[in-house]
Amino acid sequence: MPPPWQLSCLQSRLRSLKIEINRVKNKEHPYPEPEIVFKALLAVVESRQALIDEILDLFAPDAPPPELLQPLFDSVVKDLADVAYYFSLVDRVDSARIPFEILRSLSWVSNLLLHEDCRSVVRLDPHYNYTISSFRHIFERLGWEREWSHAIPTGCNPKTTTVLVLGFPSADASSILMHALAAHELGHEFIRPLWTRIEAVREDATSRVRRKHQDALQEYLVERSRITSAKDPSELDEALNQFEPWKDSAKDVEAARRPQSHGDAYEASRKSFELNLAKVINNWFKELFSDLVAARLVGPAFLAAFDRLVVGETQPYKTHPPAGMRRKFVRDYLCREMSLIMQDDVWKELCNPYENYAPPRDFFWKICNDVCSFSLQGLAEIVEAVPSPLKIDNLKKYVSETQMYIENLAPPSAVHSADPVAPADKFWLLIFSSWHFRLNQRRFVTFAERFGWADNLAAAEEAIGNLLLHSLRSLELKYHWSQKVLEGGH
Amino acid sequence: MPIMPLKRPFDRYASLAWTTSLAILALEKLRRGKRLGDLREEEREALQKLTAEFELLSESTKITVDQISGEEMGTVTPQLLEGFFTLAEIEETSANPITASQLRQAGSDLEAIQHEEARVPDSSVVDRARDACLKLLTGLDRLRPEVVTP
Repeated sequence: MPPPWQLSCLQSRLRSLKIEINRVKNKEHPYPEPEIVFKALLAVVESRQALIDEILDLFAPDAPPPELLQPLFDSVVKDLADVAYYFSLVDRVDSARIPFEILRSLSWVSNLLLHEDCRSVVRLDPHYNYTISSFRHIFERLGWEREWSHAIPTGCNPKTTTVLVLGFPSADASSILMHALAAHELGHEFIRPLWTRIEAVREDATSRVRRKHQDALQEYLVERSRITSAKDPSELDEALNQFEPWKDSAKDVEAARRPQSHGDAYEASRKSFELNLAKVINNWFKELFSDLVAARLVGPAFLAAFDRLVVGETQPYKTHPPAGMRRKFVRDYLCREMSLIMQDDVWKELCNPYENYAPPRDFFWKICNDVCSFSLQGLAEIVEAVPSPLKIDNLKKYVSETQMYIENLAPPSAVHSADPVAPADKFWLLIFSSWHFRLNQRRFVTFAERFGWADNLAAAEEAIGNLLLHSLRSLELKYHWSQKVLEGGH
Repeated sequence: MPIMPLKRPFDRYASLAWTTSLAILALEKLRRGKRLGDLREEEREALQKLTAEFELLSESTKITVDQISGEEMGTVTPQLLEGFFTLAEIEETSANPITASQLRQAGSDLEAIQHEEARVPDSSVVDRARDACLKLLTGLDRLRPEVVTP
């Protein structure tokens, strides 16, 4: 039972969170979008305060019994940890280093792609990561829909209004080309209506992999169950350290220490394996599908931006596949579905090394790897639902013209040879073309030398980024103007 | 999800934990003589949601590992599969996890309580339902991300 001091600390936490969120909410901001998030978070804190107050009042002047208060206390503490975490994603969205100009363009293209009312804000992430978080979806998943809908301004639809928080690596704040990664993040929003079909692909691939590795899987489960029924703690510790992904799981070790018969241990081992496999595969499929969405929208430019963010290889993780596997997966998809693009030397030079990916050796991760590899065809069919701007007939001509503008330091938004192409498609085509220009070593170096950046290629790349930014903004303005003309206004 | 893993996992049990907390508050009010109609709307909604959740979890206790690891995988609905894995995780992390019979009983107790709109519900039924909710909430709390410490 939380002693009076712990309860006092909880009350203090509730109070300080409210004060801090209010303080930031009342600051002057360059844009009003975070206000929705602050209001909704305040409502969550207030509801938790109300719960604790009501429980204490029901039993006053006595204390509530420990078996009642403890779980409620623990749950509210964790809710407040969630509030503090999500607050940290929006409390510093007004740094002077943030490229605000990209926001409107990203909001605009997100609206067109997702058919939602997206308002974007940017924060600089101290870690090397790129994120776009839809706060409406986060709040829904956390069970905070009521608080969200009350925070939405009057006249807006709480079911389609969201705040997209774009998290951008602080060290790369000026790199506009990195926003090719937005295609992956928006891909996560595409998944929802397609998830049932994706699950079917997952089940089919999982069954095939089980059949392929039937004997090895049996041995693996038997070995693991033999270890979890071991009585000697040191033998248990040493053996558990061999098993991914459980070696860091203190909970699993704790569970494993309970004495079990071999039969019980085997069943427990199977259950635990299935639990972890399902979690990991679900997470990996979401990432890989979003990678394919990015490939549909910006082609191999996604991999270039990915390489900038994720330098080198990474280990498999519960939430994300290893980087090498993702690169190969996307490359294989592009070679199948966009073979003409992949014949271009610029993209070949970028992507050919990805073929050398070596799958993990650990049995569990190998199974996960194989399930994903077997799923490429199925996922490729599903991702066809995402229209690809790279399928236009005169792509080569469009890219060539775009790059001619860039070479002459002119914003490429004026290029017309791809008309009529939907404005949102031009957004992605410009990113694709810009990266192609950047990766064309001969052309990029000539460009840098021409404008005095031979010794400072980073400045040359920044110049490309600025031209891209200007063009994306221009596209958005033209779109809104043409909509007004269509509606009969000026 | 971000391009790279986050240090903090998503709190996937937050929603169910809050529904359970509200249900516990509602049941405590009913124990003290309030009627269903006296409860706030979100408390009544929590009781309804939790009734359905207990029924789902109770059904998912019938699923076997063979079903989810073999050719019969397609016969298990995603909701039942999620229920199965929730209970599996609770089992792995709790010394005294909620049992299949407790889940079944809790579902029917909450159902019975919600039918007693005009009267004060039977106190032994309310007590039993409340205890089941507390046990579920304790199990869920152990599955949620740890509060970050220095």
